Formats: sequence, structure tokens, C-alpha cells
Amino acid sequence: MQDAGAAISVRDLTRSFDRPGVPGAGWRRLLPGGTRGAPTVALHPVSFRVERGERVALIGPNGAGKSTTIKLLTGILHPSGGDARVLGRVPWRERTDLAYDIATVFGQKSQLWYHLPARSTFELLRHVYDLDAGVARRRVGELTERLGLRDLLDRPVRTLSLGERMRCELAAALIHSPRLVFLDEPTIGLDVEARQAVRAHVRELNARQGTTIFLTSHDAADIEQVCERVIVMQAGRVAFDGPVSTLRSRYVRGRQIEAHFLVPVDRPVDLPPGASLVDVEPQRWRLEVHEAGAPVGPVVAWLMACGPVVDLTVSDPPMEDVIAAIYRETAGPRVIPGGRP
Amino acid sequence: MATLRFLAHYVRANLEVALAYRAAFAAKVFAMVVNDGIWVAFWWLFFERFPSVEGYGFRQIVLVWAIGTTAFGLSSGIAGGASTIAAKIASGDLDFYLVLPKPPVLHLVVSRMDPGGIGDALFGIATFAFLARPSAREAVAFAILVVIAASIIVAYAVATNSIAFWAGRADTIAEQAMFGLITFSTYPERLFSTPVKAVLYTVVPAGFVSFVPVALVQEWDWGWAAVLVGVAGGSLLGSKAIFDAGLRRYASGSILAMRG
Repeated sequence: MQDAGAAISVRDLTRSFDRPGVPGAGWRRLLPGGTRGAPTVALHPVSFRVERGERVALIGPNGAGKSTTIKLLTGILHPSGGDARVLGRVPWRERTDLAYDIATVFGQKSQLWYHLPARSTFELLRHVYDLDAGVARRRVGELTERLGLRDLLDRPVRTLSLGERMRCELAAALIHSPRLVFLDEPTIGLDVEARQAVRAHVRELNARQGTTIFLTSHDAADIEQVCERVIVMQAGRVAFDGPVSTLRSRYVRGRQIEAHFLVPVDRPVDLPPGASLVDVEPQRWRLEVHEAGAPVGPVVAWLMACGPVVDLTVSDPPMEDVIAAIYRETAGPRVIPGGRP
Repeated sequence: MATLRFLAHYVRANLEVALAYRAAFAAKVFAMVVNDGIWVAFWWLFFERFPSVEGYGFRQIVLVWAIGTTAFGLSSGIAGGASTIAAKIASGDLDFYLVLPKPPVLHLVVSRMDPGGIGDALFGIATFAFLARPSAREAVAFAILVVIAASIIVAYAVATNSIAFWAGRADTIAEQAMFGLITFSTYPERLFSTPVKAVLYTVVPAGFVSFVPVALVQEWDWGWAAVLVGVAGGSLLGSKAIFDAGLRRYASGSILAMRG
């Protein structure tokens, strides 16, 4: 029995895809389909739960099952097995009803009409969501204000920059005031400023209206700046489910020390115990001290002895490195203690 | 009513897109009118030499072409998206339609207009008005029958394109199936033998797209009119059922895409 109170509740959800047929030999080549191989398993039994108002990131390397999961939760795909409820509904059976309450933003697919101004798409979406003209006008006004669309609405979408287009995409997705927003790689291809703008809008949406956010991205900053919780998928399984802060300490055991020297310093031959070089430039070294909580004092003292240090930073490893470490784990799933079951 | 407003708005938006490039739009419309005109000119020359073939004269051929081109023109001019369904299934491009609260098949068929269809429809209506010289009764029958015939064509396109759910790439199959329907719909019924007619009233519904409407314009028959309405309704429901059944097999995709 699934929990109708959660925003998303998934239990033992699986999905396999048929492999394309390999053409047979001789005259069999003419037959459609050919020889079919064993189906590809995109999702092994997967279970998790997202509370209303949560901001959750779903991450993992390409082919880990992230997009398949989102497509199952939005009703685009039918599962091979298991169960799921999104806002109390079974997505693949109640897709039309569910569509009034959710929104999807696919960074790689646009819902705007390429040759028309964004305003025309908004007007069409008003009819798609059966919105009253006055309600739609107010809503477009709000979104125009919040997303800074005033100068963009009446220009053909083909003339907008990628960042401007993504702001219009967000507005198009939010026009019906959804309670849950799925974002699949929403910042892909955007420049730094546009990425920051998208993240800020998503955070604001969650803070103002309590909208549940479910995001997939390969961009570490999307995860750190938008989400409070992360689900890591590997080879179609949930490998970690817990707070973003826990993810860092669980996957990368250590801290980084970055030293800037006044003058170029020769690459070191020996390192202090427990330390390794991450990056070396003549006037900048970056070291990693293994095992979180280990004293960094001896390493700092060693650095001071290597040359004239003008600046020193001790930090947790960047999220980029954490994600890279996760993606390197290709040998199979590793369930991290401390994460949710 | 909300669905009708949605459809009307979609058709308007499609027209706006088409008119964004007016010269290209006008060229396609004109090219289709010329293409259809060449065929009717051929038949005119033919019947100048042989005034009657199997009881058919030039007026009957004009009716066949007027009803056929108007019906095909309406179907591709308003519901041109139907013929793109197979390609969208194969490329995993149905996602957009599946996350919106409207029946995806309805949304898909009106998602695109073919300017050539507008040319077909304009040609068909002009041909009917000026060459067939219809009575008022014939004109009313024509107006109703082309809409019914167009809905059968759309249903046929949806059904044949939906084969892609099972066969993978089926755009060529669907395209050939539509060419077959167009070809058989532009010749008089009496040219075909009984076994061929059996096919044309079932698998390739040229009988209901062309033969029956042509007969009804010339001589109204309530029985056949009811059959035609029933076939149109059944075709629409049947094609939607085939599409919906196929959706369970839809595998989506990760192609980069922009709309319209």
C-alpha cells in the first residue's frame, strides 16, 4: 500500500527495454525485428519517498536510470513492475489528471514554439490547462515579473539566447501553478549567469509556494544550491539516499588544502603521511588529506617549510569531485550506510 | 467545448507558424493547386476524346477529385500531425504530448499543419464550385461529406502510424499506406474488380473516403449516410484505441528537440 500523503512514493519500481532486433541471415533479413536479445534492465527494483515541499536531486552517471525514473513518475513510460504514486496518483494510469498538478522541464527538449513568441505558447497552454483567461493573465504577469520576461515575451523564440529561452521554458512549465516540478538537466548548455538565475528561480518557487522539486543534473552546483537531499543512482539502483552534506563526507574521505606561494616552488618529491597531490602548478599546490577529521597541522607545517606561503585554504572537497568519485564507481551498486534504505 | 477551443487555438497557432514564412507558405499552396490542376486537365482531355468510360463522365471525375482533394486537404491542413506520429514514436518524441492534460493523440494530430493541404482543399472546393456546378443540395452534402471523409483519413493515418509502437520504424509503411489510399481514392469505383473493392472497403478505406461520398453527393441515401457516419466514428475510436494500446510499449528517447 502506497502513501497518498507523500509527493512521490516509489516501491520496487522496475523498467526493462527490448533491445532492437539483430537482422537475421539470408532471406530472414527481410523480416521485421530479427533476432531479439535479452531485454536491457534500465531500473532494478527501486524504492524511495519524497515528502511534499522537499527539494531532491536525482544524480548518477549516464545510463544510471535517472531519466527513466522521471519518465515513469510523469506517466511517459509504463513500468515493467512495481508501484509508484505521485501526489497520490498512479502516473501511468492517471496521467491526464496528474498533468494538471505537475510540471516537467526537460533541458534538452523545448515546449516553446520555435517560430512564435513565447506569449503565443503561453496562450496555447492556457487552453491546454483549461485556465480561465483572467487567471492566466495574472499568472503570466507574475511569472513575467519574477523571471524578468518583459522584453522577451513578444520576440520569436528562435531569436532568444539559450538562457532567455530557459527562463521562458520555466514560465511555460509553471503557468498552471504545479505542486510538483520535475527538472531534467535544466541548466544544460547555459552560461554561468543563466544557470544561477535558473537555480534562484527554482529555490524561490519552493520557498514561496512550497512546490516540491525533483531535479536531475550532472552539474554539482545545481545539486548544492537547489537541493537539500540527494538520491544517487548507479546501474539502475539507488546507491545512496540522504542529505547533500552527508553525500560529501561519505564518498570522499578527506579535506583539501590549497597553498599559494610567493615564488614558483619545485614539485615536491616526498609528501607527509596521509597526504596526496591533487593538482600542482608552480605557485599553487592542491593536496588532499585522507580521512576526514585527521589533523591537517603537520601538512600545513610541511607546506610552510616548502616555500613562502602567501595564502592557505583548508576546505571540504568540491561537489564536482564527489560526483566524479561516485561516477567512477562502475563496479556495481554500493549502498552507503547512513543513507536512507 | 474546452477541447474544441483548444483545437481551434492550435489550428490558429499552426497557421501563425506557417504564415511566419509567407512566401514559402504561398509557394506550397500554389504548387499543390497546380499539381491537382494538371490531373484534372488530363481527365478533361481524356473525356474530350472518350466522353464516357464505364458510365463515368467528366462530371463524375470532377466529383471524385473535388471530394478527394478537399478531404485530404482538410486532413493534412488541420491534422497534419497524424502523418508524423510514426517518426515521433521512433525518435522518442512523444514525451511533450504525454505530460500535458489533453489526450496525446488529439494533441499530436493537430500539432502540425501541411500548407500543401490548404492548397488541396482550396483546389477541391474551387473545382467543385466551378466545374461540377452543384445544386444547393449537392453543395450542402459536399460540405458535410468532406468533413466525414477527412476524419476517416485522419483515423487511417493514426492507425498506420501507430504500427511504429510495435515495428519500430514505420514511417515508410505509413507513408506508403497513405499513398495507396490517395491513389485508390482518385479513380472511379467501377474500374475495380470485386476482390479489390473488398480491400477498398476494409483495409484501405478508399470506398468510404471517395466512392460513397461521391455517390451520396449525386444521390442522397440516408442508409449509406448512416453507414458512413458509423464508419467514421468507429475509425476514430478504433485508431485511438490502437494508439493507446501502443503507448504501453513506448520507450521514449533522449534526442535534442525544438517544437514547430
